[in-house]
Amino acid sequence: MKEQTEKLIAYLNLLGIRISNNSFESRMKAQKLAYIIQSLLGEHLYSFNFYVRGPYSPDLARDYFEHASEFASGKSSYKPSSDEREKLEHAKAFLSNMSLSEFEIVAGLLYLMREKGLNEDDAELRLHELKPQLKLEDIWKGTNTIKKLFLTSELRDKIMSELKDELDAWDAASNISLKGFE
Amino acid sequence: MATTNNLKYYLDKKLRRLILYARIAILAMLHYYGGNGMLYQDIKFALRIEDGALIPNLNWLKDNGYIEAKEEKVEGKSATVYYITDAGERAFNEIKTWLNTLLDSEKVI
Repeated sequence: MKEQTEKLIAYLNLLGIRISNNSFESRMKAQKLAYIIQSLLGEHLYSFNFYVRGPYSPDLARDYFEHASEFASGKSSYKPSSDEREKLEHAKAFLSNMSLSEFEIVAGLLYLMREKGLNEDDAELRLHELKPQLKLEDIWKGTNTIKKLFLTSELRDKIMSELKDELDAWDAASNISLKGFE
Repeated sequence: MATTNNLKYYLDKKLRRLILYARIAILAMLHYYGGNGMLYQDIKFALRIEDGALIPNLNWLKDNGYIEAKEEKVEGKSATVYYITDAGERAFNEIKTWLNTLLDSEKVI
């Protein structure tokens, strides 16, 4: 098996997800999950195009037909790094119970942001234009899921540290003003 | 010269009936999706055509062995998933070759 295939199966194992090539739903989930995973880990496993149901990779499709038993059993010799484990453990809570349409929304939004350079608002509108049958509130939920997915402990600590610096500055300013009343 | 040129426009009689917007577009999409197949509603949405135009064309492709339909559970509901067959792949490739020949003015057979 190719390294990218070994890696994807190992990542899916960490999410507790198995792919069956006998099911349309499972195959489509594999497509969206692979795109979400490679965005989360910042690693290029497969090339994707935006097709009728969002990001789609013919190479990945070939892989899960060619290695159906490995995808179904989760057999992989790749050992994810601690950083990969941490990111996917965090993502597991959100990804393991998502429906196919939620996967499509999250993967679709991510694709429009990452590959087309759209900001959050523009990506939401563009996805709604491309898939008008999707409800806007479901697309907004998808954006929130993306925020939660990418909010790693490292990023959270960075945001909290910036907030603390800002609050400290406000405290200092307020202490100076209070001194004026003493 | 006209006689020679005309040869490149020849297409098998059965394949001629594939040269319709919906039929050729369905085959092209299913070719791209390969073994993954496509849901009825996705084909309809992608082609922006009504059931009345889509269903007869899907049936024609199915009856001629170019595509097949399978019932599957998708998000808990029963759905029809369409797949291209080997005959469909062959027909699509022949149509592609024919179109490329038409488009390439240097290739006069």
